[in-house]
Amino acid sequence: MHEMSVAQGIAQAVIKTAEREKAVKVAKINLEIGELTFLNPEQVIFWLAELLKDSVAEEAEIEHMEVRAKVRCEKCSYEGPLDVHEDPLFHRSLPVFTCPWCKKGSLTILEGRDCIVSSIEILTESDIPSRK
Amino acid sequence: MHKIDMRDEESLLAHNRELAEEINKKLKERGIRSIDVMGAIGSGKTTILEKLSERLKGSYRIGALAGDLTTTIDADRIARHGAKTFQISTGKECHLDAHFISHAVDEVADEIDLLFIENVGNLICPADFPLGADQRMVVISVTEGPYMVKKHPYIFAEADVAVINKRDLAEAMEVSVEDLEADIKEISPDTRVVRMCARAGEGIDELIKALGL
Ligand SMILES: Nc1nc2c(ncn2[C@@H]2O[C@H](COP(=O)(O)OP(=O)(O)O)[C@@H](O)[C@H]2O)c(=O)[nH]1
Ligand SMILES: [Mg+2]
Ligand SMILES: [Zn+2]
Repeated sequence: MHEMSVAQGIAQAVIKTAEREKAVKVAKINLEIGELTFLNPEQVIFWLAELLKDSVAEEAEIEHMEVRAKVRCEKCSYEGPLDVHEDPLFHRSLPVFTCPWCKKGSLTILEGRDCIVSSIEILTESDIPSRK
Repeated sequence: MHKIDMRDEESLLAHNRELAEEINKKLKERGIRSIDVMGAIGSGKTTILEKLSERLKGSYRIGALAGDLTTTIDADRIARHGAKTFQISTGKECHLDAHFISHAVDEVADEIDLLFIENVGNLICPADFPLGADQRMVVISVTEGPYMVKKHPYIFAEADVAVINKRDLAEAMEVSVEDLEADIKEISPDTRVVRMCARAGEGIDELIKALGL
C-alpha cells in the first residue's frame, strides 16, 4: 500500500519546516487523515517514525486526527458528512456513499481525501536554558 | 515551545491531484481523449483494451499506457491490436501516480488522439491517485466474488463507467450480475454499467457507447 509514499512526503515537509524555523527539536507532529483516503493511520505513523530517525524530529510525538468526509449532492444540494453504516461483513463502520437526504444524487467529495500535517511543535535555541 | 502551522504546505495527495489536473488540461489542449482503467488483477482490463483497440483502430489513433508493475506483457498484448503502447514501469509502487503519466504524455502526445491507461491491479491505492484522465472506468469480474462493489465503494462512486466482466462464469461462480449492478447503482446512480464477456467480445459495442467513443 501507499502509506510509505505518503509518509515520505510528510517527513520531507516536516524537516523542511523545522529547518526554516531553526528548530533544534521537533516535539510533536499533528496529522490529519481524511476518512476517505485509503490510508491506515498506524502504518503512516510507523513509516513516518522510521523515516524521521536521525533527524531533528526523531523524538517527535506523532498524533493523528481523523477528518470526516464532507460531500455535496448534485441533485438536492445537500452539503455535509456521510452517514456511517456498521457493516457486520467487515467488522467496522464504513461511510455510506449515498446522499443522506435524497438517497439519489451523485456526490462530489469536498473534504476527507487528504493526509496533511496541520502543525508541528518545535523547540528553538531560545527555549533551551542557556548552558554557561 | 512554538507551534508552527503547516496547513499551507502542499501534501503529496494534493500535489498529485494538481498534477492530474495539469495533465488533463494538456491532453485536452492536444485533442486527446483519455480513459483510466482500474480493476483487480485478472479482472479483464487488458483483454478489454485489446478488443477496444481492435474495434476502434479505424477511427482513432490509439495509445495505451500499461501500468503493469514490472513486465511488458500487457503492453505487448495491446500493441498487437494496432495501438501504440508505452510501458510505464512502476517498480514496486502500488499505484500509478500523475508523475508517471505526465512524462509519458509528453512523449506520445503528437501520435495519438485516444489514450487508455491501464492502472495497476488493485482497487485501493489508485483511488487516492487520480491520473488526469477524462473518464475513469472500473472493471470487476464475477470471479472476484459478490462483495467487490461493497468493499470498494469510492472507486465506484468516482467511476464514469463500470464493467461487470466474465458474465459467462456467473452461474458457475454463483454470483449474481444483477446484484452487482444494483450495488453499483446504489452507490453511484450516474455510473454507466456494462455487462461483458470480454474474451468473446460480448458487450464491446455497449462499452464503446457508454464511453461515448
Ligand atoms: N471466462 C472469461 N475469461 C475472461 C474474460 N475476460 C478476460 N478473461 C480472462 O481472464 C484472464 C485475465 O485477463 P486480463 O485481461 O489479463 O486481466 P487484467 O489483469 O485485468 O489485465 C485472461 O486469461 C483472460 O483471457 C471473460 O469475459 N470471460
Ligand atoms: Mg492487464
Ligand atoms: Zn441529495
